[in-house]
Amino acid sequence: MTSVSIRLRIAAVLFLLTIIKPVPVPAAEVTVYDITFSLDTICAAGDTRCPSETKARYAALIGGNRWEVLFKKLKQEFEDSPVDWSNNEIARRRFLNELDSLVDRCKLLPQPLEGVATREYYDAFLEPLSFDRFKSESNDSADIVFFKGRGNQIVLGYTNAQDELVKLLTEDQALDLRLRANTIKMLEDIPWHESVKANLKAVQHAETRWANYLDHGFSQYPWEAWINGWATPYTVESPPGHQFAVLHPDAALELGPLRTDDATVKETLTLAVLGWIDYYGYAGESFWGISGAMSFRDDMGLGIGGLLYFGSTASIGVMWHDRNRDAHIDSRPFICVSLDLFRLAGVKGGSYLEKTGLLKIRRETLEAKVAEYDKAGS
Amino acid sequence: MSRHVLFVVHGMGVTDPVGWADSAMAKLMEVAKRYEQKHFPMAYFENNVIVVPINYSDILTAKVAEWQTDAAGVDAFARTNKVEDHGVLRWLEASDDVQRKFLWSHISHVILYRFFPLIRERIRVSVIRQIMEGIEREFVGQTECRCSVLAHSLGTSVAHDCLHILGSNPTWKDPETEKVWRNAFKPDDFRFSGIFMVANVSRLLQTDIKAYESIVRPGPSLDRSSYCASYYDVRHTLDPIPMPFPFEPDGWQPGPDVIAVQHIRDWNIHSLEHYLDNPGVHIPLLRKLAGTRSIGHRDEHEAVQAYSQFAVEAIGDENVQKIVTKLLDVVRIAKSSQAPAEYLSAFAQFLSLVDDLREVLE
Repeated sequence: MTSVSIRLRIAAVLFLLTIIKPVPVPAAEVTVYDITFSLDTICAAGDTRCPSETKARYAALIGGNRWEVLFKKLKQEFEDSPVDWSNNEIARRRFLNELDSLVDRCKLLPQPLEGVATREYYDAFLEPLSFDRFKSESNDSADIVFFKGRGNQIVLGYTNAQDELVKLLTEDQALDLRLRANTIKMLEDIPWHESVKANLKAVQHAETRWANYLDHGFSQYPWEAWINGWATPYTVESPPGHQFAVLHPDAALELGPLRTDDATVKETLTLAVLGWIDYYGYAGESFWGISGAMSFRDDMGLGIGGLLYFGSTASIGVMWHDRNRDAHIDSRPFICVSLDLFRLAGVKGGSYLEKTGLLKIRRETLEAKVAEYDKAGS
Repeated sequence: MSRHVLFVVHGMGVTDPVGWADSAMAKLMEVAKRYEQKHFPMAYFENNVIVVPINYSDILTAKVAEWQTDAAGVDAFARTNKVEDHGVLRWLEASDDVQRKFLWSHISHVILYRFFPLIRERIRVSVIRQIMEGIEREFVGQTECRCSVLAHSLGTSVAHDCLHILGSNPTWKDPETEKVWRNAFKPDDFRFSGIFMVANVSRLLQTDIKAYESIVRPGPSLDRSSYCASYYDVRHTLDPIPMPFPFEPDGWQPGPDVIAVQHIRDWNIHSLEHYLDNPGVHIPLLRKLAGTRSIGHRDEHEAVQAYSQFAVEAIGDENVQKIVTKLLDVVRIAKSSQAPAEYLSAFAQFLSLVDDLREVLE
C-alpha cells in the first residue's frame, strides 16, 4: 500500500467523521460506552462473541495451552465480523494490530504439554519479556479506552464539558469491540488465575508460620519482641527461625531439695536471663529451647540454674538456691517446672492459675517491678 | 458482570474484628443516596460494588491484652525511648479511667505497628493474605473487574506497606514443592484503580518501606513503578494526627490528588465516617466505584457549594468556635513537633478537645 493511498484513506475517514455527527448522551445513563456497563446483560444466548461461549467453543485449545492457534482464530473471527466497520477503519485496524502482536508473542511461548499446565509455563506466559499483557480497557474508571497510552489506542467515547458522553464509535462497533476484547482478556487471565491461586497458597502458609511464631510460640514480653525484631532475620514469607528469651519471667513450681526426706513443692518466680528458642516443623509449629535462669522464692535466697523449654506451655529445669541468704549458693538441687503464663491463660483461663496461687505471685512481682521503675524514674 | 471491589482498611483503635466496617459502609451508602435524584446508578452501586473489610485489629488487640494493657509493659518501653521526659505518661496515669483507656486503646495500636517489627510483619502478612483472598474470590472467573482501596489513619500506613509488598515481592514460594512462583500481583499483571488514603499517616509512620519511594503511587498502566491509576490524599485542616509529616511527595509525576476539607459535622473529626460525609471526599470515591459520569461535574459543584463547614445547629455557636480555635493551635503544635512526646501530648489535647466538642454538639 503506498503512502499516498494511506493518506487518502485517512482523509476519507476524517471526512466521514465530520459528517457522522457524534451523538451526545446525557450524563448518568449507563451505556455500552461506560466502564461499569455489564456486558453479561446484553450477551444474548448463542452470541459467539461472549466470553462464556468462546471459552466453551475453544475448551480443547485452552486446555491444551494452544494459545497461538486460539488467538489466531479469534483474530479471524473479528476480521469476519458482521458489524459494519467501514466508517471506523482506523479503530478496526488498531484492534487487529494488537491481535497480531498477541499472536506473535504466543509464538515465543515454550511448547506446552498437551492438556498439562506446568508452573514454568504459566510463569513464562506472564513474563513480560516473552509475553506482554493484552491490556484492553483501562481500569481508571474513565470512559472506555482500549490500549491506553499505546500507539493503537482506541477511544470509544469521552465526556464533554456539559457532562455528555460523545460517542466515537457506533453502538454496534463499541459492543463488538468490548465483547471481543473482554473475551481475550478473560482467556489471557486463565494462566494469571493459576498464578494467583499459587501465590495465595504461599501467603496462607506464610501467615500460618507467623501465627505459630508470634501467637502460639514461646511468649515474648514487649522488650523481647522489640529485641527479637532487630536481632533475628525474617521476611514476610518466613518468621524468625529462632528467638531470644531475655529477662523472661514465669511462674513456676519447685520440687525439692532432691534426695532429702523433706522435699516440698513451692511456688517461685523464674527469670530466664538469656535463652535461645528454636522453631521447627512444616510450619514452625514446634519449638525447643534453653536458658540460664534465676529463681525467686520467699523462703530462701536467690536460685541459679537452667531451664529447658519444650512444647507450647511448659519447661523444666534445675535450680540451686542460697538457702540462708548469705550470698552462697549452697542448696541441693531443686526441680523447677515453669508455666508459660500467656499461653496457659489462652488455654486454661485464669481459674487454674488462681487455684495454684501462681497468678498472685506473678501479679505481685510485676507490681513490685513497676514500682521499682517508678522509683527509678522519679 | 462488571464489578468493583473496594478493600477498606481500618485505622487505630478498632476492637470489633467483624463489624467495624458497618458504620463506614452505611455512611457510604447514605451519601450515595444523596445523588439518587441526580441519576446516580444506585442499582449498579448496590449490586456491583463489593466491599471487602480488611481487619488486623485482632492481632493488635490480642497482643495488647497479652501484655496486660494497663501500660505496664509498654510503659517500660516508652520510658526507654524517653517519652516520660515530657510527662505524657504522668498524664496517662493521672487522667480518668475512660480517657486513659481510650487513649491507650488507640496509641497502643500505633506503637505496636510502628515500633515492633515482628508485630508489623505479622500484620502485613495477614493483610496481604486478605487482599489476595479477596482478589482471588472476586476476580477469578470474572471478565470485568476493578479494584480500589480505601484506607484510614493507621490503616493508610498498613495499606501502603502491604500494597508495596504485594506488588513488588518478586516471587512466592510453594510451601509443598518449595518451588517459586512468579508474583502475579506485580504492576505488569495487576493494578489498582484508585487508592484513597484518608488521614494519611503513611509518611509519618514509615519504616523500612518509604512512602515516597514505593510503588504505591499513581501512573499510567505502562509505568511499572506505579501501582494505581489514581491516588487520593484526603486531609482535614483540624485533624492533627497526620500533621507532623503531612503527605507531600516531591517529584511524583503524576502527583496525588489532594483533597483538603475543614467541615465539622460530628465530634469525632478524625473518624472515617466524618471524612466521608463531605462531598469533596465521597464524590471522587463514588465516581471511581460507579463510573466517571455517575455524578456530573455540575452536580458535584452544587453539592460542594451547598455543604457548609458546620452543621446547621452549630453555625454561630461560640463554644464551637472556641474549640475550633483551640484545635487549630493543637494542629500547629502537632505540625511543629520534633519529638514523639510532643506529638503524643498534642494528640492527647486533641482527644480532650473532641470530648468537649461532643458535649457541645450532643
